[in-house]
Amino acid sequence: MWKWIQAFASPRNFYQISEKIIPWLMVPFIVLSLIGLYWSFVVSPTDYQQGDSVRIMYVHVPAAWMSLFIYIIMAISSGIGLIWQIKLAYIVAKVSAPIGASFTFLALVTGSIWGKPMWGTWWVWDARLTSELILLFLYLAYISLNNAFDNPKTADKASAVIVIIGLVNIPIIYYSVDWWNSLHQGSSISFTKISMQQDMFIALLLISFAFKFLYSALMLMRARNEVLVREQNSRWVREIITGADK
Amino acid sequence: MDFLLFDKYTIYIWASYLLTFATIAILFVGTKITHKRNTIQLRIKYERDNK
Amino acid sequence: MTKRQNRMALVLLLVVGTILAITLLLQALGSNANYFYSPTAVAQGKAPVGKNFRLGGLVINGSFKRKDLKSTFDVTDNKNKFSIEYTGILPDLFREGQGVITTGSLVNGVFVATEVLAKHDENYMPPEVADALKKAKE
Repeated sequence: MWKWIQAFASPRNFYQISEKIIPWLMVPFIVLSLIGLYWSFVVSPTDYQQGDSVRIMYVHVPAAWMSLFIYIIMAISSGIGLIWQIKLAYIVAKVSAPIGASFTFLALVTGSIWGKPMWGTWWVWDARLTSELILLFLYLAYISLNNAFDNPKTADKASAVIVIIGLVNIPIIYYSVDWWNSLHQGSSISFTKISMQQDMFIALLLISFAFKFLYSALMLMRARNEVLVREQNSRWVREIITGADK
Repeated sequence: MDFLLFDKYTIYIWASYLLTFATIAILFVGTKITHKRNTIQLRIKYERDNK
Repeated sequence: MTKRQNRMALVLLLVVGTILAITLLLQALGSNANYFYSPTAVAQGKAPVGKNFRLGGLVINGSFKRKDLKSTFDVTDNKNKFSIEYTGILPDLFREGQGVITTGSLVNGVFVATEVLAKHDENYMPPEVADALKKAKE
């Protein structure tokens, strides 16, 4: 197993194997998205309080979950990079950041669009909204720190430290609605209970899994781009690039 | 197409879904463009090296 | 210790250290991160009476009265209650029995609000199910 991981983690093997994996991530993404859209627009019922506006939840909540999920992935791979000095782990963290920032942005904006008709406001500075905004800033800090260094090795290490320090924000976001009074309601889905009608939950899960596949595909595609640039002086990259048009 | 109209919430719902779609599309196209640009730049670099 | 173990310890220290530091910081901040005061907190004098502050709770069933744009209702946390006066448009989710967060100040024991936001709970269900649940309760 360890040997296999090491073999996959070599940039060259990664580049070749990932190419074959990407279609197997894109197909489930598209299929799950289509079923998910059908479920969220047609199958799932209106809410007894919020009417049809509840449908915004099926993009808002999966996007918010992704914003946390991708950050945790970045922190783990940064940690792996720092400890085992695996180049590929740093690359995973680096290329995930813009995707994570995009999902955080989506969670914030769709939440705002949902909040206006329901709560009566686009934005409040309560604990949940504020901590999610801080998450967006952490992503942006990571991206700008990573771009600030010319030497990729220094950039990797410095930004890895930032992402690990920022990890503390993740439980704060998750528990903010339990720890403090907030305008944002508590979690509907936890490890012990689901306070949601079944079809609503299915729609939520479908889109959520679709997003996971999308992230995996995008991350691999971006990682391949990054590998090409970083390994441009190696013979195998030269062979792939110059051989590509033959 | 009745099911696509949600009385007074139509605009909010559609804004959310379209924004999500646009963001995903931008991520996707951006990734593809980067790949193409990298490939072209590397090819130019290798050709220069060969001369 | 090997170099790798050293690095591992450093990373671990970094994570545990910052989490600990920020947890302590948050504990020190305490209730300041709360977005609103409950009626009980206001009754106990924890809210900055005389200034603007936010008061949140459930709208008492049967307390809502409206004349043109001026509405009055009572808000409770099941221990204490306050009467609210508000002039303006209420959000779609405003209902008796549901949560609200109001911004304003206390004037002679009545909370005069300049803003009313509706809070919703974590339960999502279709109207039929809500009706059935309501019937089962009665």
